[in-house]
This record gives sequence, structure tokens and C-alpha cells, in this order.
Amino acid sequence: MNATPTCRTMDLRLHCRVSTDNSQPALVQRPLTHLLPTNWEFHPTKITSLHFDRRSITTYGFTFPDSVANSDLTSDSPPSGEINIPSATATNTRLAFRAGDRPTKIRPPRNIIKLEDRLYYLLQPPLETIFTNRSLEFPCTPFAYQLEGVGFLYPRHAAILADEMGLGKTMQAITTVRLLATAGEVRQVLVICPKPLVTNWQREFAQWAPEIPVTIIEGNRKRREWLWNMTDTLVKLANYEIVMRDKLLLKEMESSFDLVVLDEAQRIKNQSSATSRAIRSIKRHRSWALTGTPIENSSEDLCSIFDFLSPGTVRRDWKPQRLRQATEDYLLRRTKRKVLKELPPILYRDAQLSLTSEQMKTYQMAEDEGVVRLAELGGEITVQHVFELILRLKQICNFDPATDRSSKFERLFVDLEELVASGEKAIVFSQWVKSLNNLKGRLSSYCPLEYHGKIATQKRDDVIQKFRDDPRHQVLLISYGAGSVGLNLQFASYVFLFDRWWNPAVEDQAINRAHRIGAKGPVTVTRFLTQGTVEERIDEVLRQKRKIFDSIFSDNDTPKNAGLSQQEIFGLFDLRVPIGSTKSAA
Amino acid sequence: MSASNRKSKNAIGFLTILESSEHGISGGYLLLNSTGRPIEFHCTAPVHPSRTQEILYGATLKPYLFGEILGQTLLSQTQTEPLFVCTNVVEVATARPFVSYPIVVLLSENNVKSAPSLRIDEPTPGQPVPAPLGMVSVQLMNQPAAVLADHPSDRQLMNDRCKDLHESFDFHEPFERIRDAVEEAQNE
Repeated sequence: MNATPTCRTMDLRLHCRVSTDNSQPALVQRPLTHLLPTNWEFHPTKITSLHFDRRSITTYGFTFPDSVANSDLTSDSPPSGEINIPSATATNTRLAFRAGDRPTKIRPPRNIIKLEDRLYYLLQPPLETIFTNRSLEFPCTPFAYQLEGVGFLYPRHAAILADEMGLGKTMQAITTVRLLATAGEVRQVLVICPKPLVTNWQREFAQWAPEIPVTIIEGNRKRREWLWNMTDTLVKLANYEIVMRDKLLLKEMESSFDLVVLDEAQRIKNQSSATSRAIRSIKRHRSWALTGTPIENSSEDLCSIFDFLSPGTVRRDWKPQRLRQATEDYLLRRTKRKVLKELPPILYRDAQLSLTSEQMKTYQMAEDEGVVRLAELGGEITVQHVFELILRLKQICNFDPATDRSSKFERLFVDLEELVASGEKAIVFSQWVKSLNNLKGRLSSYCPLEYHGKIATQKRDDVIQKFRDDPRHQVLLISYGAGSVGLNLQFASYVFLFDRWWNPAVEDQAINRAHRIGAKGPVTVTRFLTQGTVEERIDEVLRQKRKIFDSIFSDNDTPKNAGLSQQEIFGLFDLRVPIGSTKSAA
Repeated sequence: MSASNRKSKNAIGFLTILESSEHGISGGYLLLNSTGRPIEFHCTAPVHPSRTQEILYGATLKPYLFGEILGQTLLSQTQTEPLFVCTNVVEVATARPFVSYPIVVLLSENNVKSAPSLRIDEPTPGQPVPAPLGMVSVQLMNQPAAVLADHPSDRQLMNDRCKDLHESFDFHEPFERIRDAVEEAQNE
């Protein structure tokens, strides 16, 4: 049936009524109804199925190299490599990391691009866990900032650890080498340091990584050649002079070093020097520089260190701001003030002295004659001529050559009398061995010891030991050249700078021999300065240099002049730089 | 689960779920040796359950998504069979039927609170955190933990397998590593 049926409603109930007289009223008639068949259209209900499709989940993953991760999975055998590093013994000193300290994580450097490589470092355990679980032996628990330094060096193939002197750069480098060696990441390490520091490094390795074999490169050429080619030693220790001498041997070596560590890396600040070239030619995979003074004179010093670390990373014509941005991920610098709040303070005393009348007479004569002589040189004058005059005048400020009078000594003697009486020890720095010898004679009642270039290298350790252990020796006379780096003299509370060095960084190095970890009390630094002399003018130059350093390593404003120009050197005597001479002087 | 190619006598798995409003829900799995050194790492791309799925799965969404989907997927990737897998997310325990080793949940007030469907009682401050519904308490190197009650042998297995671990082994720290690594991967 095609027509749509019409529908209407009707009441189908049948009504009936019953009367009380039994009469039957007629029923209401039932309506006639018909059944009509019809087709209903049926629409089935829609069903929606929802499910998580397991196959659609993407995963990313990787497996760590066996030598790194699984060295203890199957046995106690060392990680793959040629060097067998014995495990630390069960009698190790347990490290007591302070509860609540943030764990020290290894963060990948910015120049690691590949995700897998970045995760490799991120997924390493905190250093505290590594040290504790591997039961590594340490003479004492490292400071948190030192662990941070280790975490900084560990993943970097090019790095400068530029902590202020006395914060333990050596220990941080050694600990990182130790971790890398245990992980099988380094097998051949070369440490290059100044000659006087070789024994210091050897001692520090024995203390902080006693299980690592260290070989000192020394002896005649034949022996050195044999030592260079030794493969069963993990660390080779050489001084800069040996590296220079053996540059051809190093060049001919077939294998590369996994890591080269340059201590006191400011030694290569002159890019064109033979030392710098010899160091740069060493085949290596990782390069680290340790220095408390990455910039001694100008930002070019830092660029030269980068020529060794990562050539092409910086350019010499960059301004300090850009240089800082380009180098910040490679460089870690902490100051004692920042990280060692518990370290006692340095108390500076600027002793501004007047020359004795005899000294002043000699000084005036020398300066007047010297300036006249320089003026007479005219166009022939060089910066060397000016330096010669400066040195001569500075020596007069120390001791009058005619009468041997010295206002500095008079003041020093008074100060020493007082502090020696109270049982304290003092260090006296000078630029000249001659001045130190003069002081030695005058201070004989204090049994002074000497530490300078004229003292044989093999005797120097004895000098330091005597000064530390023998109460009779309360004064150490020391030259900036020999003793401003690497020495631990924290048992001395007084430092005297008898004369001033050209560079504030070197003075800081000197002061930090005493002001370092282990110092029991404040360190008093007395800086002698004779008024109205070239020393006063040099002091002003030093202050300018300090500003240069701050412009790279702090947020201070950048000074316009980033280096000490010849003009400034000549300016000490109101002289003009001859035409055509424009190079940086110092 | 795929057969493990490498067997380790002392590898421990750490599996966690990371929820981020920006990226969605991801799983991360880190396999460590007994000194805490990493052996393997796997993570999932983020997933986003739809509103409909949230309604339909209701309280069972998290156990299903975290354990059966993300957990099982990650555990199937590993090449090294661990002694056990540790998680800080209660719902991940539902991946247990798919693997042959125990999955142990580190209990804390936070993770029990965040899994209301599996909780028996409100944790009382200062008191040991009760094991969630369907789980039994175990001690993981003095840490309160729980394993699924459906796998009664897990309790003993856990005790046996923790014997050789260093007493200072930190079971919480690896989850930080997973978080850092997943965030790094997501920022790629």
C-alpha cells in the first residue's frame, strides 16, 4: 500500500450501564475496525567504535655502548681499553656529600647537536652517585663547585677551566680524567704544565687518582722518545720546554692523545710563539686549558688559547661582548668570593710609602737622566728602551744602589717583627732575585727561605716543606717568576708584594698561594707603593687592565681600550710613540 | 613482548609517564646497571586521548593508557631483560601481565593520591602509604613499594633480586634523568 495511512484516535472502551430495576439498556455499538497491512521503513542505529591504535605510538630509543654502560654487567673486568685501572680498594674513605645538595648532573655542551649524543650525557647518573657507587677513593669530599667543574669538563672536547687560583683546578681536571678513564673514554692523556709544577701534578694525581699510572717525560732524548711511545701508561706529564724540544717526536707519533690538558695555559697566549705552535701541532681528540688568567693583557690572549682548543671559534677582531657570547659555553670561571663563602677574606693594605731622602735623590737623578736619554733617541726609541728605564727606577724604589737605603725594607721589617712574634708566617714577593738576596741578608734573624729561579728545581720542594713544617723559618722570599703559580702556601697568613708586577693577574696568582682552600684565617696582603714614582703610574695602568678582564668575565661595562698600548707605556714618562710603531706592548 | 637479546644479571628498569599540557602524555624507560650507569633508553612520542576516550574509559583510562599502551610498548623495545622494573606511577603496574619480571611501584603520598581508582584508603600523614587496590606491599631497599597481587611470586622475586644492590642505590633519581631526556627529545 503506497498511500500513507491516516490515523485518528478513538476511545475503544465499551461503556455499559446497569439499572437497579434489572432492565438492560442497549449496549453501545462497537465501532467497525479494519486491519490494514503496511511496510515500515527501518533505519539501523549507527555504531561508533573507538580504540587506541597501539601501532601508532612512535618510540625513540638507543642502547649505550657496552664499554661505557655495562662494564660491570658480567664481571669486574675493566672497560675496554689498553690500560688496566685497578678498582679502588674496599677501605676507601666514604664520601660524605651533604644531604640537600643538588645532585651534580652532566649537561651536554651546546655544540653537541645530535639528540642521541645529548641524551648520552643527560642520562648519566649524577656525579655523587658515580663516586659513591664506584667507591672511588678521595682524600676528602670535593666541594659542590668542584663537582660542577668536573661535570663541566666531562662532556667537553674543548674547554677552559678558568677558576680563580686556589679553587682546585688541578683536582677537578684529575677527577674528570679519572672518570673518563673509568668509563673507557680516554686511554692516552697528556698533561703539559710549567716545569716547577710537574712534581705538584704528580703529587695531586697520587692524591686524587691513586690508581692512575703517571709517567713523567724526562731524561735524554733517547729515553724521552721511549717514554713518549709508551702505551701502557694512562697519563703522560711533560713541561712546556720538553714539548718544545720534542715537537718533532710528537709530530711523528702515530697515535693521537685522547686528551691534552694545558696547565697555566696563558703560556700560549702568544699565537705565533714556538711554544704555541708546538702545542697546537699535537694530535689530540680533546683539549682542555686550565688557567686562572685566560686574559692577562688583552682579549687576544683568550683567542690564542682558542686557537689550541677549537680553531675558528673566535676571531681577533671581535668586540669583548661578542667574544664573551662565543666563548661562554666553553669556559667556566668561578671566583672564591662566589663559591667559597666560607673561605676567609683577603685584607688588602696599600702601603703608600715615601722614598728615603737618599733614595729620592738617586731616583730623581735616574729618571731625569733617563728621560733625557730617551728623548735624545728621537725616532730610534723603542718600547724596550722605555722598559729598561722603568726597571731601573723600580729597582731604586726597592733599594738605593748608592746607599742601600730602602723605605720599603724599613716598613717590611717593622711588620715582620710583629707578625713573627705572634708565630705567623709571611711570604714576600719580588720581581728581582737581587732584591730577594738583599732582603735575605737583612732578615737573617728570621731564617728566611728563598724560592726563585736560582734555586735548583729539585731543591724547591724541600724549601716549601721546610717553610711549612719548621717553625724557625717564618719568612719565605719568593720571586713572581718561580713562585706565583702552583704552590700551596695556605699556612702563611701574610703576603707582602715588595714590588709590583706588570700584570694584576700575576699578582693575584701570587696572593692566592696563601689565600686558597685550607687557609685557616684571613690573609693580609700588603702592597708596597712608593709615592711620586713610576710605581704609582704603573699602578694606574694595572687598574685599567683589571677593567679589561672584568669586561669579559663579568657584566660590567666594556672599557674602550682592551689592551695596554705602547702609547700608555711611553705615557708613563710623557713621551710620544714614534711614528710607525703601533703594536701592542705588553 | 619481543625476546630480549641481552641478559643482564643486575639491570634495573625505570619506567615513568610524563604528562604535559603542552606536549601530551609520554612514556620514558631507562635501563640502568647496578651502579646507576645507563644501558638503554626509550621514550614514546606524546599521545593525546580524545574527549570521547576520556569519557568511555573513565577511571580506567590511565591504567589502560599508562600500563597497557605506553608501558607495554616501551618494555617491548628493550634488548636487555631487567631484574625488575621500577615505576613511580601506580597505573604503570598494569603492564605487568605482559612481561615476565616484576613491576614494582614506589609508593608515595603523591602517586597514590593521583591514582584514586586504585586506592584503598586515604594515606595518613606520617603513616606508611597503603598499597593500592589489587596490590601488595613490598620493601624496596627500605622504600615503601607495591607489586600486583595477581602475581604473588613477585614479592619474593623482589626480595631476592635486591640483595646485590648497593644500599645507597637511589630509586627516585633515575626518574629525573628520564624527565630531562624526554624534555630534551621533545624540544628537538
